Amino acid sequence: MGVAYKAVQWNRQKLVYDIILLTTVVFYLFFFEGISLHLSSDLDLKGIWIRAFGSAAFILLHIILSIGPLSRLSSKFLPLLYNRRHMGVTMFTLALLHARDALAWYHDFGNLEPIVSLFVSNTHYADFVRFPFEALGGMALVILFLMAATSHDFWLTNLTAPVWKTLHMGVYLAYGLLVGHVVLGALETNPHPFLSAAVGVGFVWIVGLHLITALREAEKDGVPLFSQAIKSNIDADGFVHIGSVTDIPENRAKIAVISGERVAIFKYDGQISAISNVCQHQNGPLGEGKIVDGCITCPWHGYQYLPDSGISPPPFTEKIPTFNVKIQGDQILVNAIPNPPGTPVVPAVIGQE
Amino acid sequence: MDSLAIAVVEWVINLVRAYAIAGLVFAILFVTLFIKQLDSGAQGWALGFRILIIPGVVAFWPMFAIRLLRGKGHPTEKTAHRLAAKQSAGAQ
Ligand code: HEM
Ligand code: FES
Repeated sequence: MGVAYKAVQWNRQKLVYDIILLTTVVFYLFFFEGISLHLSSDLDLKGIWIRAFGSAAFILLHIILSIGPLSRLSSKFLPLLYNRRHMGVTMFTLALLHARDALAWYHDFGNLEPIVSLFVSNTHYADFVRFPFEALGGMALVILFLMAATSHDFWLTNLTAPVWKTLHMGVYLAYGLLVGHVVLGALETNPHPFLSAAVGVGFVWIVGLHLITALREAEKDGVPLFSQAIKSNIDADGFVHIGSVTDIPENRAKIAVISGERVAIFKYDGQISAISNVCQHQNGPLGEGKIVDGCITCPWHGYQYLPDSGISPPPFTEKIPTFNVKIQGDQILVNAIPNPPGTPVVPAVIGQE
Repeated sequence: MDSLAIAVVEWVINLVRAYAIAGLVFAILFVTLFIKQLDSGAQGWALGFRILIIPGVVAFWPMFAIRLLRGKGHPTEKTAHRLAAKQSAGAQ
């Protein structure tokens, strides 16, 4: 990044989201306590808070996992995507409080340290129903910690976006571990059919939503998941036919897959330019963005690039690969081989050959 | 309880602790003295930012230590297009 890092880049909108998020969480926790005490007054308060923190974190995890696919299906959910980072850190904090209280509650007797006791007090690692579900929670917590600790933009730059994304894909592993933690934990300590049913419904929702989104994305790319890919037709000069200039609205892009990745082909001021679709920030889809003030603007967090060079306007320093373009009649042709990041390319002028 | 299992778990936990303590010492030195050598985005004092990244530096400290020793900044990402562009530039 070319600009100075700050702890949090708050604006009015994000501040409002954060306030709503925190109030909802606090309300949920006290609501949970109230209901539990109401249902059975002989429960220990500490035990209630362990469950309140744990369930709050688990519900928040479902919301976080839904935002990605939902915002692919409808742009109405994009504002939630921008705020997902703070949701993630909030979820980790709740999970940490849950784990801390559970360790103090279940493991702080005897002469072993609580953290050692966590792994050795139940060694039925080969037994399904009596499996040490707390160890599953512990592993998930480590993943959630790594994600929360690397949530600042500094980490995107220093781990690079692909590595960072892979690390944050660990959330799915954490989710799987937690489903095990909750289901087995419930079987062992709190056998309540409602809890297991709720976990099941949540699981079907998350998996179903991701499947629907994956199918839709694959169709858009012309690579249907369950049939053969449509071959792009490269001509003798090494150019790929994209379609007519009339297909693209002004200041918008058409997306095509070339050289193993999506390319964004933009139309603006009577010209055509093509750049790699992959934003250098978090690999957002540039081709779904617009040209604002002469710059391609990423729809995810607003990073900008000049359409004819793929370079971010100063003081920024990002550079992405560009593609040579031609126009024949009304047909757009894009070179099959990308230029090195930041290579200036003369835009193809519409109606002039 | 199995005393061997306890010994193994205690040993592993002590190892993790040692890694984290070394990481914390490194992280404090890193955010106060060395961070600008690796990332030009760290400008001025930005105290909040520097404190915020400490937990992650504790986890990933060997990566930063190696970059500092080699005198290298942060790398640039690899995407299919970046790799293809590099390849064709090399072929010419
Ligand atoms: C070291 C880490 C962890 C430990 C030691 C731990 C411990 C426990 C224990 C002892 C229970 C049973 C509580 C009871 O029914 O009385 C439980 C349940 C639960 N845990 Fe964890 N946990 C850990 C991590 C996590 C994480 C990371 C999450 C979620 C983000 C989580 C979510 C839950 C949920 C949703 C329940 C079910 C709550 C209920 O019974 O109402 N746990 N955990
Ligand atoms: S992915 Fe964040 S601005 Fe493009």
